[in-house]
Amino acid sequence: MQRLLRSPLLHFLVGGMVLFAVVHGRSPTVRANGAEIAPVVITAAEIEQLRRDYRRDTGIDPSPADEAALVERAVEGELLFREALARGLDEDRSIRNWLIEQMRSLDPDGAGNDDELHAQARALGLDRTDLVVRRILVQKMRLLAARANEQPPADEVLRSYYEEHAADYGIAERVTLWHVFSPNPSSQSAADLLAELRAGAVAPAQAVQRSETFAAPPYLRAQSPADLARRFGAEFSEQLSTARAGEWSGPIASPYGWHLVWVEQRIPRETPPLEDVRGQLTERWLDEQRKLRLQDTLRALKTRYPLRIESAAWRERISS
Amino acid sequence: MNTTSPRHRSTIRLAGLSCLLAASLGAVPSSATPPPWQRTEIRQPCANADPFRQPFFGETHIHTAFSSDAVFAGTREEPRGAYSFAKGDAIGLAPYDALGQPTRTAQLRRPLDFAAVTDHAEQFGEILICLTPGLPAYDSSECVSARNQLQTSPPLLPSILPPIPVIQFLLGYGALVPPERFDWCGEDGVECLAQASLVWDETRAAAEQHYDRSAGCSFTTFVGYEWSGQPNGNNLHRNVIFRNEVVPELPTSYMEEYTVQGLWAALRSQCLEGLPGCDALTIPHNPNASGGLMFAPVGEGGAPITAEEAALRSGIEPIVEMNQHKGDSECRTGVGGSTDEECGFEKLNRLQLFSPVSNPNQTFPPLNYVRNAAKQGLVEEQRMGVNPFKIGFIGSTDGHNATPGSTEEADFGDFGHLGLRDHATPVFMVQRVTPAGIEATPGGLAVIWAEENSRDALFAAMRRREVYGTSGTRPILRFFAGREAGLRCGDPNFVEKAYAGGVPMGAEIGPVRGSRSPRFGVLAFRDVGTPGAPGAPLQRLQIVKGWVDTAGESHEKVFEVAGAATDASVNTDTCETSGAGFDSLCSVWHDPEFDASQRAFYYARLLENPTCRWSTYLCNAQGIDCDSPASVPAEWAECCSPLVAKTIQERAWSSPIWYRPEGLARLTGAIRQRGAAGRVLSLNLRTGAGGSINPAAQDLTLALRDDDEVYSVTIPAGTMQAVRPGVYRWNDPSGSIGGIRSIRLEQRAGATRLRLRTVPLALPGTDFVDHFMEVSLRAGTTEIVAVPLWRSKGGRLQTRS
Repeated sequence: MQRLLRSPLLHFLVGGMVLFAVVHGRSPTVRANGAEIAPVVITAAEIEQLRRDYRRDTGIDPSPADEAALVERAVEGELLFREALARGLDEDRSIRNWLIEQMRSLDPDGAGNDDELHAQARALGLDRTDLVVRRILVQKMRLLAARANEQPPADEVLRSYYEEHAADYGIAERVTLWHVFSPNPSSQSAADLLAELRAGAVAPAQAVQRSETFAAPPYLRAQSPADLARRFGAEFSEQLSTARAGEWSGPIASPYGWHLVWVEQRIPRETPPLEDVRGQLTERWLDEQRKLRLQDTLRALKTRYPLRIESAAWRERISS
Repeated sequence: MNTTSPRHRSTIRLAGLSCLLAASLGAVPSSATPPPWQRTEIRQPCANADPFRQPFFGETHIHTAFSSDAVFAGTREEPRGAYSFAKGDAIGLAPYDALGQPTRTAQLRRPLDFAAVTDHAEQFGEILICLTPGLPAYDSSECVSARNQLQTSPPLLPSILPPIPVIQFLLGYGALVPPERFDWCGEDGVECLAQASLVWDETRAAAEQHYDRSAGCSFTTFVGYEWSGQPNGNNLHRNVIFRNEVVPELPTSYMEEYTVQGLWAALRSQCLEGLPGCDALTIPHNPNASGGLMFAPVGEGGAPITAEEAALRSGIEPIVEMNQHKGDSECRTGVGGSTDEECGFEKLNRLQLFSPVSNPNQTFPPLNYVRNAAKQGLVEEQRMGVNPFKIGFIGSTDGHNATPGSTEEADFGDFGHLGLRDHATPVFMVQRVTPAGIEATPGGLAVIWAEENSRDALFAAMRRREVYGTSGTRPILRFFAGREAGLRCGDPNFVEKAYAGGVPMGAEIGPVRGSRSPRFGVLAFRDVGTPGAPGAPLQRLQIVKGWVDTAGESHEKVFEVAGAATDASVNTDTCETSGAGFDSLCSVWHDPEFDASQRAFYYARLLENPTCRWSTYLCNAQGIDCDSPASVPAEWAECCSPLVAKTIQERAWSSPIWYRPEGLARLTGAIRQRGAAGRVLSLNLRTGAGGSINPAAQDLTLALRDDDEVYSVTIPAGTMQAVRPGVYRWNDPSGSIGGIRSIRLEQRAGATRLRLRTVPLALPGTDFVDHFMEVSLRAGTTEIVAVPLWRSKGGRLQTRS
């Protein structure tokens, strides 16, 4: 212990702790029994520190709106930290391990078992002031709040959620088509061939034997506009949207040349049955619920803890 | 959540599979065509499926805020954001303002078809602990150092490296051997692993949210992660890609297994063999910074690789990410016998990813380059009969902005790929030490030839290596080899005929034309581009051959097979292009130097006309004029470095086709309906010389598979009787072993002939419709696999290839 007290690292650490306590200007003690709750305080000095950090990281002077956002984040962090302590999340093993490691690093040759070192750390107040502990607790609280009592959506909930978002899952109109390809440069040979096909009423399956090799096969099933754009270019896809089924259209240009197209079938836009998108929808819904639940928790915490925030910008934002 | 527990598994069959739609492939391929792979998940088949396969563009290597090196560079988008981006949505990029709004946004000019988010798994837990969402952490000394090192100016000077523990943390990489987790993770890292499961759950949930299981098949995700082993600074990274949503509880990272053999063993025990429905493969990247170790022909413990290890390796690691933002790893001029001038393409001139020294004249290990590794694979195969480096090629980005597929040269200067590391100020793009800096590239794309855009289809194609890589653009490239009789450029049925007469990229062939060269069909189309901006015209198609001679020496040669250099050029001041090129290129080629006794590989390389390199776009936008050096600000000097190319010839590399002298020379087979008695299977195959099947001492396993197992039999060692030296036979009218009526195996002049005929069997999985069906024969480490086209005709399904 003698050596520990001489350790420069300890001086540094305790110094930092004192500074932290001074900056925060309050006791780290939390009473969450409802009788007496210490207010959440963010002092003008702390806010100045937030502004300095922001300036250093971005090179930009924070506007009042920026300051309000920075303070809001700090308030949220403090509320989550306080709530985590109130719920005893600091009894967690990772925090205990971290505190023991901290004590060991202060005095690598020192005696003391884990329990003693843990007690020493708490006596020094490290469990309330250590920034890593704080981060762990805030993060744990955030996750806990977001996922508390998480349940997969009931079927009727998912069904109405799907109705609300059906547009995001619709399958576009698609075409099944035959095409005859004639390479660049001239469209004339394609036009001549078109006249021939029309005059001779050539069946598509025979007509495509007149095609040159193309990147896509002569018969293409259920092509969405995106599929067509990917294979023939966006302009081709656009043009094909007006081509009538059961006749030869063209020549339609692509970056490769000219195409005579026989639209065999247009498959109308459809909304897939819920079962086909259940996984997609469920994960989206759960994600949204987590965000909402976290917001609810923060809202509730703001009413539970008295707030004393020395930022006009923040107060203005809250009241607006 | 329904994705945290494995879904109920069942194999669904394509709708209408059982109806015998006799779709003649010359005319209308039916959507009821069974694919040559099993469906392992619940989803709709795709309405636009094509049995002759379509190219799907995507990538298998992207980082998000779940990677420590991304989040500490200011990236905030998580896997869900990355997938939205891949599908075409705009997302935010760092820096973010105080309100949490991004100050930059990025959007793809055209969406991807698939993507796999692969965050560094080593610090899934540590990041969550360290990270305050929204703001970089101010926690521990590691976090503080990380932040200070990476985020703020002044930039790192090329001669200053952060301390190793900081690199270790902020890169999420394992550089220490053996690795260590940080103190706060508790004993055996249990605390961090507990947190890691939350990250892993979220990774899986994101993949589910964005995977289109409907018949629209608009987008596919894969659950994946990166195993980031970098022992002593040598890059051995692997992306692990899972076939479906059935995945292990936690990823196996470098922290758990710090050798790649250990990783493979863990994947086998926790996935392939230990978890029903689970399947995975690994994809290495950046062999160019591996110190020659990524493709070193050694096994566990550094001993020469054995045939068993080689077979395991090539099964679980079928492809390599050959091109990405930290350079191209195809080949390097002057290294390992490469004289090919195109090997100068987009090279990383560093021995390790975090080496401060960039120097093209250093000594680079030959096995840092995939072409040399592929040649080494032939040498190993010559030695022990199995090729450990039978590896197909893809590209990806490895970007750390959660922006998969962001490979446009014109956009890269604006978007970057490493958050604030390359965009705290614009000049960081050209100035920062590796892996950013002017040496970086936007990275490439992976192109998968698959029947449809579903996980099973894409995964099966990756496993059979029917994939190619591009340097970021989207040209179409097909490559076949075989007898290919009558194959002709211009034929509208070129692809169908090429499949019917040969094999596609990624496969292997034997002496299919005796001592004459197989024919190679190669077909390319230019990138279709974006509205109003078609891709660059094509310039040349080449075939790269590697082979090994009887003395065990490897060689390589590049053949020009179509196209030619034209008057095409780029004005590097305006980036306008001019001059001629080709919309498409095609050739049916044979190897004029073919020697049927030499094992070889062949791959196609497609070169586009030159365009501006990303750095030229950026430097031009900054008004840098290299013609008046005095006007160039010092911090932009890299723009004018003679070592930096002003233009780029975007390109594509097909996966190789391997020629094996002992490979399959001929395969015919038929399944005939014999009325009510059942179906009779007959098979007749012949290999080239050099095989080593011994039915007296080895079990012989023969199987036919499409999406079902159609037939499978194992003939125990010693069952077949030697009737004279080299000739084995087994006849059994009762068909007691797998219904075999007769089987005859003959070895003559080293070649193997096998004839098999069954008694009438039920064979209920037979689909009498034209389709691809795999035939495999295994004995010891010998493996003969072919996936020929079977045609249906009058109560008969048959193949001749």
